[in-house]
Amino acid sequence: MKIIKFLILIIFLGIFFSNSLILPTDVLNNIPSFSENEWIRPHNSLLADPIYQFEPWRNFAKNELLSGHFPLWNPYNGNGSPFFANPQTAVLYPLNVIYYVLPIPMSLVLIPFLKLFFFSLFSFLYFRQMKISKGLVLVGTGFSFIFPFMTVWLLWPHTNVFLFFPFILYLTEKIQTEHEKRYRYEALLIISYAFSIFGGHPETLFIMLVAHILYIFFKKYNREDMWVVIRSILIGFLLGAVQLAPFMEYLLNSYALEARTNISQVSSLPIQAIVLNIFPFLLGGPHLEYYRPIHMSTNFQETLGGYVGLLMILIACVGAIRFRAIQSVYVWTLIGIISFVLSYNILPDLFYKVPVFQQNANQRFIGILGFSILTIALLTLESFSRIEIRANIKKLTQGVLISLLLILLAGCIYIIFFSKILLLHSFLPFIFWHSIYILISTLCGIYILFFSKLKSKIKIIVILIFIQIIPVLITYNPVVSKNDYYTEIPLVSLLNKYPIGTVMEVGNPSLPADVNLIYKISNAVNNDALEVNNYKTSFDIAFSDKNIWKNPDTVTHKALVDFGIQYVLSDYDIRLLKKNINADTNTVLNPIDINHLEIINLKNESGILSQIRFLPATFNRKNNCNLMISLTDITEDQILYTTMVRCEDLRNYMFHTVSIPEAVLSSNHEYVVEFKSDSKSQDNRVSLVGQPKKPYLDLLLQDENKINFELLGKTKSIHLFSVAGSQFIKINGKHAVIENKSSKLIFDTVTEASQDIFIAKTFYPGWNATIDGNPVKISTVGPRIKIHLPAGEHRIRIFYRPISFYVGLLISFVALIGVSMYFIQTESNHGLWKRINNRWKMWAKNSTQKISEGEHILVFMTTTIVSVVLYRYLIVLLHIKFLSPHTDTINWVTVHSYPKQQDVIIFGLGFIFVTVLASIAWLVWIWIRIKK
Amino acid sequence: MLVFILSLAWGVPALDNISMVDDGQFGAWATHMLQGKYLYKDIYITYGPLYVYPLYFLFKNFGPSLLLLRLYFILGTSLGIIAAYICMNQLRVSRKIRWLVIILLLLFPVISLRQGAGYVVLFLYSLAVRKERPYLFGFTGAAIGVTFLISPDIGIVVGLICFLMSVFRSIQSKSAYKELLSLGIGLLVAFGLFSTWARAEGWLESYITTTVDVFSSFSGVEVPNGQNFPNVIKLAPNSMNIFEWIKFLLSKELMVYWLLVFYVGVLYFFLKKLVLRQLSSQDMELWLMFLYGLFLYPILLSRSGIGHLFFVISPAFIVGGVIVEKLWNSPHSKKNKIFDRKVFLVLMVLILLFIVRLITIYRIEITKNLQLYFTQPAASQIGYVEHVKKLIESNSSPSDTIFVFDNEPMVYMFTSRMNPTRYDLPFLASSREKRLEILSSFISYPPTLIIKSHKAWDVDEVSNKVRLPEVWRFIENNYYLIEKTPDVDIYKINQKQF
Repeated sequence: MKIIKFLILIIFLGIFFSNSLILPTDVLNNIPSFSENEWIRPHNSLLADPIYQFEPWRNFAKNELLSGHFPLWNPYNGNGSPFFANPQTAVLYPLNVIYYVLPIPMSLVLIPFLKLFFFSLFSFLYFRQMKISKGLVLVGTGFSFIFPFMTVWLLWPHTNVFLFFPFILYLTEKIQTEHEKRYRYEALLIISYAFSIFGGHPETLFIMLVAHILYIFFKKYNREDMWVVIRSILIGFLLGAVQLAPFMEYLLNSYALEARTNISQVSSLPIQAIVLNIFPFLLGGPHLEYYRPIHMSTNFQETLGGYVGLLMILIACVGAIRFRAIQSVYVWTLIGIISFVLSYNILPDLFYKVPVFQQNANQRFIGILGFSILTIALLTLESFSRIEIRANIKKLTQGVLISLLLILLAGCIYIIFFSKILLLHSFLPFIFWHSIYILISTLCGIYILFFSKLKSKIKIIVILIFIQIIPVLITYNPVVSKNDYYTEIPLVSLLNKYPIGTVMEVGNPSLPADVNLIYKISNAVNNDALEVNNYKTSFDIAFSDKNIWKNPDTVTHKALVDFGIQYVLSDYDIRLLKKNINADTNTVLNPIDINHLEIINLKNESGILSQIRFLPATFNRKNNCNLMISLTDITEDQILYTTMVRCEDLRNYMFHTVSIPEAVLSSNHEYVVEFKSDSKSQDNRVSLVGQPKKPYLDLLLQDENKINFELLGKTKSIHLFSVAGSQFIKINGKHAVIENKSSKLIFDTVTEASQDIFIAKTFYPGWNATIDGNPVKISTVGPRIKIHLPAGEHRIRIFYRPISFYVGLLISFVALIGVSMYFIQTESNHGLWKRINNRWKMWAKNSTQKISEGEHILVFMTTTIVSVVLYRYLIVLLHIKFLSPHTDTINWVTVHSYPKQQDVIIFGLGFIFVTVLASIAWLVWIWIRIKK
Repeated sequence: MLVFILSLAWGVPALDNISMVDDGQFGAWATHMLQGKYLYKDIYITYGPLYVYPLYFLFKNFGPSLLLLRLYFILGTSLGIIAAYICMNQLRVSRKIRWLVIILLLLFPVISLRQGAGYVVLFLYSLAVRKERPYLFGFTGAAIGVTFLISPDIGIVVGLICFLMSVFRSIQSKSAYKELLSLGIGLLVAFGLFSTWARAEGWLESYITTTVDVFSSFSGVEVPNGQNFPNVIKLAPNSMNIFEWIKFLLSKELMVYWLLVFYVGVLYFFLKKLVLRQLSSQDMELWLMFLYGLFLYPILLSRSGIGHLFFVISPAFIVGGVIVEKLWNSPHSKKNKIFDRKVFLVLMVLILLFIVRLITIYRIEITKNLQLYFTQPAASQIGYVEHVKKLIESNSSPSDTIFVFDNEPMVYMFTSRMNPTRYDLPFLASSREKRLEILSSFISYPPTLIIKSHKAWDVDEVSNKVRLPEVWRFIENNYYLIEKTPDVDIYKINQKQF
């Protein structure tokens, strides 16, 4: 234990003096605007969400809270969207408080570490409760620290929730066993559920809840215990109502609910993915040289969430059969089987069409499956450490193992064959050695466990299990330098030169939603998991031409003006007419090298060609080749234009635009665009994306009609345009914005006639408007808010006050009071508090007899006077100065520019200071007096 | 009964000239309601509706008059004093102390209907706790609701006190859940009935919006009457002259701090009892009174003037009376008796000094026009009112609307003229939104006359010309002066402009 404590201390010290962060900001390198000078391969490109969403959200929440505003609304995305109501922002999650109060780099190391720490601590408590021997409890705790579901989702809100799973199980066990003090565990269970809600991932919460209910059901608790647990869960949900109520409102108004309800396929893992639980790197890994998902709808994280190593699976399988009489083994076997069935698409679709399961990401049950296997394996090892393994068990084991290994081998071959992994010969040795490594370590483990007579065989088994798990995850979450935290990029510097306005990405992602939050630049796109239905629908209609990144690929001036978008960021010149030649983006074509070139024929094309745009695939590596692009008039056999692009300037799946010095195309002529390369190496070449013989290609022709866009500037990869006539507030008259904050907009208007005014803000329940302080009707027209304004001089105030939040807050508050009352009331009748109470009574009686009333009065008077004098000097010393908040109210305070708040705060603090100090001094005096 | 008769005979609101602002606003509101306006929707008021409706019913049945207005306030004061008396009965205070406190309450303008409503809630709550009957908690909840509808700030204060006490009680009592539930049900019944009524009349939404606005504007930098409380450090004499220091310690401004010293002392009293486990059931009831006073105290920090000191002082009198009695009767050992009595005497001298100083402030400095009858103001004030009334009536017809630019809402009652804006007290419209609201009302329904009084009270010495520059500019551009007297200027609308 001392060693563990020492290790924890070292890790904490490391965190405080660390120059690094556990946040893969290098993922941003894949965006051209973030890597204009040099592309450095990200350690793990799959870890995009934490960079694109969770960190920007957390950062925004911190800024809002520190400026004294509760972050209810995100004004920077999708012309505004609910912020707090999106549970993934996890504003109230306790661990995020660390982020709000500590420097960002420090908290970005501390929070992931604490997540793992708490998960292993809670697992420790649970395993100990299962009456597993001390050594194996420590082993289980160690496994929990590197538990794959926790590791691969470490930077996601999933693990905010999942870390409470073993704690909930522990508390459930305690409620059943410790009847006298179970109110304490009940209170903790309530809090755990509330914190899980604040954790910000309803799907994981649902999964955890299902597993928990299965647990108490299979454990066959008596009716009273079961009621206590269910009651605690319900109260936990009431306590979390402040988060749940706005979330439910957002869900009902969201695009996601409709989209998920209408999907035909259930969210689960493909059956072949089972093999990856045995050989995790069969298709590579996102943090390795090669990676390919088993299916386009899933990825490494989803498939590996339950990975616990082949050896542990086999031990658990044997244990589930051999020790099924042990209740915990039996319970976890059933939970494991159900989790397995739900994770993989095994049963007929009808089964999955049960409400909630239909919309839920069922593949995450794999985390529960992993935990089930871990628990069963620990219980099995515990049992094996106590009994002698008999011959029939050995035979059974042999049979089970040989069958399993054969099935696995067949699965491997099937996956390798279908994944075209054989194309990349250099990766094959890795797969070979990887498989050998897994098989040999497993066989060794099986032999030692079942057939050897070593005394320390359990220890060796544990080491082998660790050997199978650790290499998979050790470098999964990379550590980057804190200097790489959302660095200042040329595009942001360019944008900051111009007045604040909403931007729209066209073509490649350049300042993607929600990365824009970090730079405090508004992006017309909202990319949270829900999205406001009304806005999203309007957006998809107005910008229907979407590309591979789901970004608009072409825009019209009208649509931009309707959305109040002032700037466009585009990888090509939007003033040109984009003509798509081949649109397919599904297939990566054969690499271009010295033996293979891509040719695109152009027929019946006319106009002045200014740019060519294509879609390269770089295989997510740094290629040192050159790509020659030429335009040839084959009718006249004349090369019109030729240029060379360095392969290292291309980004994987990012459009690349080449400017051409005005080539005139005639419809009577035929042309070809050729892509050649000087590459000879298999590991150093690029491809185009498209259909065979029809790679993706856009021609950008001059267009005299597109005069509404002005090119403001250009970086190496992005053009910045302003949109003429686009306004945030569309009004026929004068207006001046007085205040524009996340949840509030105030502006003055002077108009000659009454009219409807339009504000580029997303309409959502909770937005209200007043004109000169009087409420007015607020409605929506497309993506904007509409208000009817009478003629004259007015002040318009638009503010977000969501009833769902306040109702949720009230419910949570009432629940908190109720829980506190119940806890305090019950606690005061028990143990420690009772003893303290009795001693206090004795002491008080003694004091009353020894000290007179007059003495008390004199002491209080003296200590108060001293405290007042002290406070007076403290105030002079600290010299506190406040600035009055801005207001255009005319009253005594503003006429005299008097910082009233300063006096009130000094006065209030003084009251607290004086009374507290005097009271403490009085208590000390009594203590000394009684002692004498 | 005696208390009631005494309070009627020597009722505080009738001791001076009529207040054109405090009394006048109620007169104006009730008059406007008779003219068809609705509270909140058409009239901006900072109180609850139940504070105005009784007067409206009186006016409706007997016609608007100064006598009724004054009787209404006197009745409110009497009921408040009776409620305080009942509370002291509940506290089991000796008769001597009870009457001493009642005399003090009669001496100062301390209790009005809204403070009285607070005492009723506290009385009901302590009764409910003593009897432990859920229906009594239900009544308390309903009383909290009614108090909120009379005065939102008092309603919140007493509501908070009852809620906190019930939560605290839950540590010891298992029935505390029932208490809270009953309180909640009572509150819901009161609000439910009120909401049905207000919704039927179509002013519920305006009530909610205005009440929220009153809270937000009266608790921050936008407070209309927000002269700061006296800064003791700046007021303290620089020299060590003993007389200057005595003068300073007895100054009007320092009374705010002396009251705080008193509350801090009482806080210690309870702390001592809590730590030394001496709390009794009576202390819970006393604690309610103390909290009532302490929670009202911040009003002194957000409003200026000695008048508001009197507003929050009544709980101090009650709590002070009880504690003095307790200290005097507390058990002393022979050894400590003389010492305790000495300390007690010093305290008593300090309290007496405070009360005497308050009497001199109120009875000598503030109440300059003391009268023995209460139905009419002094002749000089009657003259002023008649003069203004005559000027208005001679320059407008009864159907015309007027706007009193300064803070003299009583003019609306005297002249029975309608105000086209929501603001009978224009100083309340000190935020830009409210100023523009007045302008909007002017454009939609331009008043025929603008009355600019020279005698009106400039709140915090900031005139309405300074507070409402847009409105004054509008008046200058669209109205012309038709009467100029030493008392008032009357402006008439320039019809060509409209």
